[in-house]
Amino acid sequence: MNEEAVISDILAGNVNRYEEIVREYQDIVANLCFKIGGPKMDIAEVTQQVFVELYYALPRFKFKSKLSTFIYRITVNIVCKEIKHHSRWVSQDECYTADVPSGDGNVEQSIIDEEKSRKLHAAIGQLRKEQRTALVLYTFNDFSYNDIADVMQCSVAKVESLIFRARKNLKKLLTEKV
Amino acid sequence: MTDDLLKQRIAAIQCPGKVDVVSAVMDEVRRRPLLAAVPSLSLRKVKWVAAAVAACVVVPILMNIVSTFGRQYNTGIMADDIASVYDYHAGYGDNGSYYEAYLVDVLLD
Repeated sequence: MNEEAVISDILAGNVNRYEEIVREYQDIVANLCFKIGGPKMDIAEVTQQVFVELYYALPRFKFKSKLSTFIYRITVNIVCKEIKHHSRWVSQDECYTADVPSGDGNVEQSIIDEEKSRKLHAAIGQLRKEQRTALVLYTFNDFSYNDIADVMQCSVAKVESLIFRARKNLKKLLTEKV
Repeated sequence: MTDDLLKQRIAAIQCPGKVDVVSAVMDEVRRRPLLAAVPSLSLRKVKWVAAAVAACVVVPILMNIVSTFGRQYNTGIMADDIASVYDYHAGYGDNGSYYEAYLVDVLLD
């Protein structure tokens, strides 16, 4: 998809082309919401909110960064607002699926992997909001520190510090749980 | 847990079910048309503009107040604070000559 052409069309009044952007990014946005916001968050509602907000923010998008970065920034802002309103994140027993790759297709192994992922997700939920966001973005689409700083609108040094502390706390949380 | 494994495990956490918000979003955006791009004025710019306007308005007012007070203060000194007390002395000095003197006491405080 030629994003620049699509956005120019939308700004010129061809609203229907916005559908292409929504289709392209809705799964990524939903996943990001789920990872940062947890299973209790109304993912469909928040995803919809992200795309509505993105639409009205399009005139401000000047192609200085990638469209994906712009979308992630909006997503992170909206998810953080949602978290503030609904402070409870996730309990360990929340139901969700984790598509964990199990090496040899072994069912038992995939159950163990899923359990590990569930614990990991629950532990991520206990991190502070900023640490959680930085860590998820770090593992999301191989974001660089610069990309994360751009999305979170903070310095690269702060991102490094957040990820370092997130990893340290995560290790502590996972050790406590075992 | 290694960095790669952590990345792999977090990346593996997937949103359950399929999210399809296309129709809902398109309904919403069609209902409210996009406004033409308005040059945005960032908060920082707004602050600078506000500070400049305040300076243009407040500074002349302050200068006016200061100068008015200054004038009043100066006039005040002339009118009130210089209390001249005239003391008239007359008599004969040590050498027997007669003198007359006006002693003027100026009170500035």
